[in-house]
Amino acid sequence: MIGGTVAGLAVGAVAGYYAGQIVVPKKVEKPSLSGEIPLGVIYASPMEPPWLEPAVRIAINEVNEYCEILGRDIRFTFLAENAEESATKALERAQSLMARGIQAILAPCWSSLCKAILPTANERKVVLVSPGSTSPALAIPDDYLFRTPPDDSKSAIAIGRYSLEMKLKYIIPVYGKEPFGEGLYKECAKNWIARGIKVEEGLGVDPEKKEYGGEMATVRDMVVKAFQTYKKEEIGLFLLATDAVLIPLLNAIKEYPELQQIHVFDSDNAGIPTILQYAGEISARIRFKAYRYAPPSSPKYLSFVEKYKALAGFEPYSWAVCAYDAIWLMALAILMADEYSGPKIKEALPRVAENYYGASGWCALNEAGDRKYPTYEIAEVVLEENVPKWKPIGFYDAITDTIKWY
Amino acid sequence: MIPLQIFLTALIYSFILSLLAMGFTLQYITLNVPNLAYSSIAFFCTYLPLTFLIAKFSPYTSLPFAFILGGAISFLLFKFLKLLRERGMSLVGLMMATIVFDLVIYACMNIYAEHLSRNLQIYAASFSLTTYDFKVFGLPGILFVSAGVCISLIMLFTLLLLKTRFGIAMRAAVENYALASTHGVDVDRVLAIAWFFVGGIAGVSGALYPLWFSMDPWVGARMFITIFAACVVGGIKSIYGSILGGALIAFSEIFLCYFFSFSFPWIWSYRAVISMIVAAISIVIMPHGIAGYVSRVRERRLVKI
Repeated sequence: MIGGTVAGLAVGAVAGYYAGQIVVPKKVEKPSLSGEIPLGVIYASPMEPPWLEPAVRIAINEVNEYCEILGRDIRFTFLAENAEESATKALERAQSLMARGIQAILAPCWSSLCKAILPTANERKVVLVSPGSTSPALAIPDDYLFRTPPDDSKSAIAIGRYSLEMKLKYIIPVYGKEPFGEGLYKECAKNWIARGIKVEEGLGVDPEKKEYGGEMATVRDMVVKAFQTYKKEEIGLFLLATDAVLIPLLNAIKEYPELQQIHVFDSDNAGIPTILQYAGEISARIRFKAYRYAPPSSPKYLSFVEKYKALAGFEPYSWAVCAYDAIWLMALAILMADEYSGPKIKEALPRVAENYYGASGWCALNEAGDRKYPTYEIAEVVLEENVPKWKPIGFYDAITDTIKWY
Repeated sequence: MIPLQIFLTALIYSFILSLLAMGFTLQYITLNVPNLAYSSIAFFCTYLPLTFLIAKFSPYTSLPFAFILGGAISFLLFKFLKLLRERGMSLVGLMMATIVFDLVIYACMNIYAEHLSRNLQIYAASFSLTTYDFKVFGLPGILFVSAGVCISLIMLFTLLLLKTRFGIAMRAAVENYALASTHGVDVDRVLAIAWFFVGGIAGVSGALYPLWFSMDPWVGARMFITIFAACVVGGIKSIYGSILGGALIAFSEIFLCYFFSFSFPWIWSYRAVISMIVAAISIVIMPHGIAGYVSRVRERRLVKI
């Protein structure tokens, strides 16, 4: 009898336990992530913080407000370093951030610096999100680098379409001999040839020289020779370089009247204020055009622009918009993963991006972790009341491969 | 036919490089010390014309101030090295001390560029003032100013070294420090003034630099080899040599690259190498530099007579 009672009690206890599980709702576990979460930021050059940092600060503030609304005890902060235009320093700065436990870094805008950091990031499983790197060489699937702008193979398509719309038949490319310039030149050359445009052998220039009077003499000879076959409006001089090289290239054009008669355009330096400041006069004289990755004019973008202008005092450059979205993507991925861990962030980030419409538009990423659907704005330098300014003149849509002219 | 622009490009490059080399050569002639902070002193002063431009003055008005600023920085370095020497530091140690000074100047440049960017929205980490230059008969003003400054300084320092008591005292102090001092020469004062002049030349050449080239805080490190090559090729013991060396480096770089570019347009990416190859060949043929070679030719002719 006693044995039966004990057995009955045991069975009853077990049955009661499982019945209780069904009847009483399971307690939701409190999210484990809490406290201060630092994100790393590595600027490519000392020129960047004035225009990139405001975007980072706006994003960090908004993300923290979002966490407050959610009732999460999380506060995002950022630790900034500067690569000073050096790949060696970029790696050192990245290693320093990783040593401090950073699991997600806003990577430099320059492809050469991202390339220097990437092997270490892959090894240590730290996520990099670059708001400006566009080299096709870094379009690698399943690595730890994500990029909110599209890679250059997409911009090469845009440049090819632009060249066709300008009715250019002969192009002379001049590029800075470094990963960005060379990479873009190779992609563009393929695209021009595919569209039936004749392309001269590209002239690589030493990016450290910073004075290109001699190089432009060679370009001038090519142009004079081209005048025998083509009309002036059919010839294009395409400059592919960062602004540090572009400015002396533009200033060298001042000495060559022949180069001022043809179409001069550039890769993705539209909107950069340094060109207006240090080569504004010649740029306006030759009606220098450039394109840049540009977001569609959504209410979200316009709202970001207002906040940015209030903080920085000028309009945001497109990479600043990408940086804002990059910070949001990293933060949302961390919140989704509920863990401050590189592998978890890497897994969550593409899913977050697929459903994230930011200031730069829909941030869906392709298999290489780069922006899937780019849009580009084409701008020209004009004089307004004797002051050089960038004036938008067109908008390129990658989905339809068309330019809408304003 | 060589376009005029090629000739102008080479000429302006030659004058600016000669100025940079002149100060380095003068320092070596008078003080026998390779100052590794020299190019940083020169390029620190590139921010002076930018500052003057921000204050709405012509960048050329900064030249006298660049001389004073460069001279003052160089004087500070002299005092620093003197202190170290008095404490028994070796020559190698003194050279290392100039590297330390160089790093400090480099940091100051970056801090100032950062201040301009953050507080005045002037993007100073990389800048060029060519767009603010004037024109004379369609030619850039920097051509005339750099030529004038170069020739004036050569004449001034030739007179100073050969025709003034100060110059004689300076040369005596370099030849034999102890003997000069027993003859009543205030050697420390002479050397301090010499360092000031050297820094002054560096400052002026730095102030002219951004009126033709694009500038960033790392230019000093990159240009040091070219400046040193110009001094050695020209003849490190001759001020005239710095002009000859600067001209050889500049003209070989621009002209040879231009001629080669007809068949090999890619040569422009390697223009720095071209001038260094020419410099290396000229040193093999003329180990004492162009000025040294010219002196020897003159001596041989005199001997024949």
